[in-house]
Amino acid sequence: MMQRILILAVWLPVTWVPTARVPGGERVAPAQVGYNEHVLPILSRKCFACHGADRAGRKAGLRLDVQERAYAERKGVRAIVPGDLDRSALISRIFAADGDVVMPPADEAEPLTDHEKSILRQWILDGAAYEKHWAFEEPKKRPLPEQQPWGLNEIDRFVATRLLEAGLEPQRPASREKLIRRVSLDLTGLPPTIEELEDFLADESSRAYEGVVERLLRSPRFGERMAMWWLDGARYGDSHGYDNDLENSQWPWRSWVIRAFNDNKPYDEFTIEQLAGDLLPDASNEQVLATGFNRNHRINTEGGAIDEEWRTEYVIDRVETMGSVWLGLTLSCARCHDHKYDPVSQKDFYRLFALFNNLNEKGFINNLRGSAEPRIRYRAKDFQREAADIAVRVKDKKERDRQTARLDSRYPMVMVMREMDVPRKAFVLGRGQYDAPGEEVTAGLPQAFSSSTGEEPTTRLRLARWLVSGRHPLTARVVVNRLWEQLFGTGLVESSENLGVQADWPSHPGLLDWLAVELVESGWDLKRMLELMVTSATYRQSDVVDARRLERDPRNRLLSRGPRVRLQAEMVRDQALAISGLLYEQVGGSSVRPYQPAGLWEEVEKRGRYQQDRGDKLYRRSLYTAIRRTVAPPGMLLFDMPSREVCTVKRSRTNTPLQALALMNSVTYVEAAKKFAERMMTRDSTPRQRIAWGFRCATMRQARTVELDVLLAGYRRRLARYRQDPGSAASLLEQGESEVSGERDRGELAAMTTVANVILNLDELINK
Amino acid sequence: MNRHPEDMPRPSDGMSRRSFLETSAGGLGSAALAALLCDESAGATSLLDRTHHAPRAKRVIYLFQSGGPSQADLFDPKPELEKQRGKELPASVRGTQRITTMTSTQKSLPVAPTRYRFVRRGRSGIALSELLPGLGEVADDLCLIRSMHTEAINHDPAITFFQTGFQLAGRPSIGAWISYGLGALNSNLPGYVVLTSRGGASDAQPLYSRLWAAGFLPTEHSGVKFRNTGDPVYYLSNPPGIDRPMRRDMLDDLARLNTLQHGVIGDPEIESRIAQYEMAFRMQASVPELADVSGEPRSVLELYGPDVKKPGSYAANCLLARRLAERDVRFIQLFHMGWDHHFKLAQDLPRQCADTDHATAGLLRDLQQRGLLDDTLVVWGGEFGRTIYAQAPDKKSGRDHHPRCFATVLAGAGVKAGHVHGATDDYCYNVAEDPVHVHDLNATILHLLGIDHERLVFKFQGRQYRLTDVHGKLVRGILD
Repeated sequence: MMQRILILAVWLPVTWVPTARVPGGERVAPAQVGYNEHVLPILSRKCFACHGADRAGRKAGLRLDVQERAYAERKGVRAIVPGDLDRSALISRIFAADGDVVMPPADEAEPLTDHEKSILRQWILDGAAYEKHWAFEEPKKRPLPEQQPWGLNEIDRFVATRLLEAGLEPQRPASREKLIRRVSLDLTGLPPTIEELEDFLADESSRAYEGVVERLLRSPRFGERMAMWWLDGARYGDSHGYDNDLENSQWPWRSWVIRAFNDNKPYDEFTIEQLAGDLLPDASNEQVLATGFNRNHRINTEGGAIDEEWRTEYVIDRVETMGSVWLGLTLSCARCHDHKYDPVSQKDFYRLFALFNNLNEKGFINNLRGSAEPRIRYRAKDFQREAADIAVRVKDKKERDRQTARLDSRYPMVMVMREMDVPRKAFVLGRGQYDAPGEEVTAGLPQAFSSSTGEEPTTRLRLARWLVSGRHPLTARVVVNRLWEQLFGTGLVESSENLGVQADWPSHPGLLDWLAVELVESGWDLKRMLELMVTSATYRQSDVVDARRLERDPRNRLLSRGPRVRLQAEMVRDQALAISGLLYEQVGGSSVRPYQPAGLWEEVEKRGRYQQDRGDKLYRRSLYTAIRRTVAPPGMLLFDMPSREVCTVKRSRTNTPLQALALMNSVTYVEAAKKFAERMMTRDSTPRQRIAWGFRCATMRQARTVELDVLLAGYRRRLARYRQDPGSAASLLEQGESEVSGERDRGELAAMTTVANVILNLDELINK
Repeated sequence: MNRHPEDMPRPSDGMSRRSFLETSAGGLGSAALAALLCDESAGATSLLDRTHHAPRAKRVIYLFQSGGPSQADLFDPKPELEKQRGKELPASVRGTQRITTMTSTQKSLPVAPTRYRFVRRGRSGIALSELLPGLGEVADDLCLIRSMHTEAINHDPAITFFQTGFQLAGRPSIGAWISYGLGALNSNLPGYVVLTSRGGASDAQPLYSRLWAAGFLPTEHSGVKFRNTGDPVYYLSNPPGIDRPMRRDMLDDLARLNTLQHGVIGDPEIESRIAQYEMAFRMQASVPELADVSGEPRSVLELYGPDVKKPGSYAANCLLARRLAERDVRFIQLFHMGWDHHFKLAQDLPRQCADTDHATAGLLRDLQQRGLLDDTLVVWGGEFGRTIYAQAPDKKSGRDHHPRCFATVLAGAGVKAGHVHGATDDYCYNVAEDPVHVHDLNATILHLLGIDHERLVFKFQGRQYRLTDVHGKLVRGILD
């Protein structure tokens, strides 16, 4: 297969045909104006706030989001007359010179650009055809684009066709060294070992790469890596998040997520269990545990808080989180008023609210530590068995209490969903306020999306099944788009957090839909979907970018090269731990407290003290690092991990001097450099060979001569300094709790530590 | 000039310089590299000419008083109210105001006028509490708003609302918005710096990182918290055993290797990474230099009071704030904890005032004597006020949270000096004149920086967000 790419990737040069789409090219109206692709983004950004779905905010009774209403005559005027520019009021208003007449009004929205005006003009001239918002139509597999002289699977057909249109050719395949590092980080969150690399390089079979992918997907690290992704949306944290912010005991839910991914639980079951596992017939403890998803929200523990105000917030949080995670819609807008863009009315919002409103929970709990009702015991059987054992075995009461307490922290109570016998009444809340109940509502799905027969009562279980029925227009698109984003850095729809009317137009609409249907047809098989993506030729491209690609595809939206993206926060640290040999792997379990700057908690509050862990717990994967939400771990925040106070489905990806300082100086990375240097020193060879080995160990590739020259010269200069000043070598090697083993020359080890520090700071390492 | 903020180059854009690296693929001495980057960034991110209108303030020092200072005891005299002492707060005054569950179960809500004397100060004759002699000395520089009001009644949502325009977590803080909109003025320091301190009061509400976080804006706009212990900035110091020349030596190697890799891969993001490391190196010098106050003459230290010598005190942070302002950090925010006086107000309020009053006044004077007050806006205030009725009247009496009216003080660039804006009713319970909502204050702060608050927007989750949500009116009455 690798060979096939090599051959096919040699393209015959394609004549480049300039089109209006070429990024950076002239902005002329496209020859074919499409409503969804061109018109909707303009209308929704600049017109719908006053002429959209929101009744309360609507001006002049005009709607432009619905064809009949936009065409309708009002007071002798028609906003849009298809094909007739002169009679379309929209045209005269947007081209008006008079500031009092021109639309949009200067104080309401940004003015239309000439380009936007020309699109609207062309669209009306062509007949002003409306289309339903693309993401609200059920995705369909359309016939695949033609086979191009490049590519391995279906994905590549879509990508190649688009590249061809833009006059670009795919990049050559990435080297095996590059590829194994990329795919290992993507599927397990950790880099490969040198041994894994050597195996891959030595494997001459045609399915060598596929073999690597299969191995990675079977690795228990896969579930950990996927959990890193899922936990952001699930706003998982280890504390209650308000005021004194004491710790919760929700971690068994995280372990459930890791297991679910490792077992390749199909996404429909994964969804149903988290949203409504408690309502399944004969629900198992595990299925109930899954519903901890809806209890991961923050809980107010501030003295004086009004119970009902905060209980209401939690219900709203559940609705919004469900909307962001599964629907890719911002339902929060409809908390206070009908959604201005998407077909979700305020009443719809509170019909969903009614679904998440029926648990016997409190809004305010003073000084809450641990869990709040409703809750279940994690692994209740093990807990009971061991508790009974302690009761029999341990005679001394003090010792018995101590062991029982330890048991309680090993098998804690976990917050879950449990429906009350009689549902709470639910109301539309005026301005979204708990103390302004209006019309009473019953549970239901948003009317625009559900062809409800009205027979079956709506429950959370029905909501969950509706989401994963396979016919829902959003669920599958949302998840394949986010998986794509995890691998390629940017989703096929860049606004991966929103697929509503305001969503960005997909870079490859046909591919998105094809993948969405493929996921459903595969039985919601996430591993299979990822396998499909990472075995595409698209994914396997080299990440090298030349001037032409930079000009025509500056942000790689056309996929004219392989992904080159900064590692996410957890991977930056995990990689350093792995390369240094410090990583301590243990799947699941309670959270740990690795190094953090001293005094951090005390500075912002009086009560808490950070009890740093010792030993192995310092070196566990970052997804197990305890997140105290009001003072989240700074080393993670600096690399854009969200604080987990609210659902976040898209991280920012920044590049800052504070990141540089962390990688240069924090004890985590200095200690990693020390242990990495020690590994390099155990190679019985010359400094040059040791550095070459270390470079390879970190980057997977052979260092170029000039690179080795730079590193070796640096080693020698700093070794000379440490020879003169052995004290500073010793103090460098004291960083971190791990000891330096053996009778090694301290000067050499310190100098090699500085080399390791440089390697761990390479841009190449921070990127995948 | 009507540039949209979205079109403004982000501060990091200024750090990347493709043309330079294209011509230096063969490798250039990294000292020269550092010099070039340094040189380039000087003033490159000064975007004042691209604001929506001419700014009055170049920077802001925001002295946040966390916990909710009592307006009735400090800023809003009601001498007539003495006659009502101990009487029940009339229902007509209370209206429909929600009160917290700390006092909603209390049997009575007795009016408790202040025990402190108010004194008219300065030429302007602004009446201030005897607890604030320092501010009294600079009364003619102050613009006192007595008619602030907010929506939340608990600290966490209220302070989050002040900082982000929304009561729940997730939105960008005001400093992050400003950093996003205007960029940094000094390439060696972050554009938004946060300093925290705790007062002498017996208890203090905690602070939360979200208060200075960037929310959905790129994380680089987050406030950088300067710490009171250890490194002023996380991970600033080189580890023991690596000194500054050795770090330079290592960074030279790193820059060479990254430049070589850029030559192969071609990704412009690599150039940006090189620049960030250079800035990190510069910060390793500029931040300690900033934090080192040993060169400050005694006359200046005295302005801030004796606490100035205690690292991490409010006074020490005020002095740092001036040093940050001198170095053109755009948004400097102090958070001082300890104003939450439910009980023992008579003990804790004077302590808090002693912690802060002298230093706040000293900061204003120091800024003034350096001409910095002309283009620096100073803000002093908390997340809400306190009730006029007593909490726990029988025991160690204090006051509960009160969102309906409270006071905020401004001074400096663009605001009237020696001026009082707005008024409350006879009970210091409701705003009677010229109400100023939190969104109004935030809109006005942005305005003074040259930003139209309705046009500093960021599209996220399919919606245009802004600091003031869909609200906020410019408070014209306080503009100079």
